[in-house]
Amino acid sequence: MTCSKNFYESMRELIPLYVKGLLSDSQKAEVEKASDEHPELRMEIEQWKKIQRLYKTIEGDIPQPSSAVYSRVAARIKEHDQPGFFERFLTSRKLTLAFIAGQFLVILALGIYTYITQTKPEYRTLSAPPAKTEDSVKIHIVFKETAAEADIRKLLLQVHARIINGPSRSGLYVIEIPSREDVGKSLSILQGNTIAEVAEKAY
Amino acid sequence: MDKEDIITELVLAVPQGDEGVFKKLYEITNKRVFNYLYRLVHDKNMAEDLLMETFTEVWRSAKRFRAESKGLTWMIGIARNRAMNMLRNRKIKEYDINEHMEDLSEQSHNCEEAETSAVLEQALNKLPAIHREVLDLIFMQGMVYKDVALITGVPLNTVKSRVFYAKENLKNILVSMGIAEDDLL
Repeated sequence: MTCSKNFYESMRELIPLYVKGLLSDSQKAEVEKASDEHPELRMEIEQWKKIQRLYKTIEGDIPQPSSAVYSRVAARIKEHDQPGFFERFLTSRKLTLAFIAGQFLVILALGIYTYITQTKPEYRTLSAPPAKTEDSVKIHIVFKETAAEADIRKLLLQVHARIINGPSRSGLYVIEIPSREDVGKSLSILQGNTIAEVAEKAY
Repeated sequence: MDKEDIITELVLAVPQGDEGVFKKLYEITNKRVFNYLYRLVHDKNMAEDLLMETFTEVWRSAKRFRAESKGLTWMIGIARNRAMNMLRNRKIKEYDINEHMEDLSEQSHNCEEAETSAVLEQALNKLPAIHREVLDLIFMQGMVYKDVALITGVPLNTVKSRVFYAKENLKNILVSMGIAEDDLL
């Protein structure tokens, strides 16, 4: 009897599953019918049966897994089921509420602190330190042309003064000393110094 | 309900967190998964480590199992991935049949006196892993080609051709061992 190559191939492919008993009843009947008609398929079945028998032998030789394996698995899954910090945090209502309450307290404390420390708003430019006009005193001063910068600096530091204007074309500086109380003493120091030609209180 | 369906049902029930269900799943499948792993790595301790990792992963990932394949097929797939990772990490190389042909020929004198099954077993173990694996999955795990394709990640026709070439290779190995194929296959 003749049959197509495709049919023969499809039957041959099914033989390992036939031998293992994994085919449906209709497929099984089909393979058996084909094998009755084709001695090559019968031979193929015998070969696969030998392989199947071999597998039974091999299975008998494979050791058994240790009974301790399940304990190890159980320990691992318990470890896995222990929630981490963030997981506990996200799933715990108490921890979440505590976190929200903590945040609220921090915001409240910052609000109170800001209210206390900034009751009187203070405005100032970014380029110059604040001028304390109420306490400070301005002094006009002219230095000798030969005066060295280092000497001028030393003198100004001695009276805690800073230049707030100048020099003008005539060499006049306006300096400021921080405290009205020290003006007399500061003026006498400035006037007594050899590098200052003129030092007078500004009005 | 056959055993395969019971396994699938148990895998589907694992995400509910009942350790009793998981233990039952372990009891009815651990030997089959272990056999598969042992045949891949040929080392009891390594196979046990992989078995532990496989079932830990089953516990963790069961919630993602949608029963698109059988439960056991899904589990064997996990076992295979674990084993491949371990083998890759340990750089265990594929047994190259050509490199060992000479050794096998030398052994052929003893083969005449050996038990038939022992000779066949020896020959089977010399098969390239991709061929041995498809035979293992069919004859040890009772899987059809579709399941084998899912596990190995190759097309169905590739599985069929691997089965064909596995037997052809087995014949060649036996011949190289000095045994006429008709004697054994």
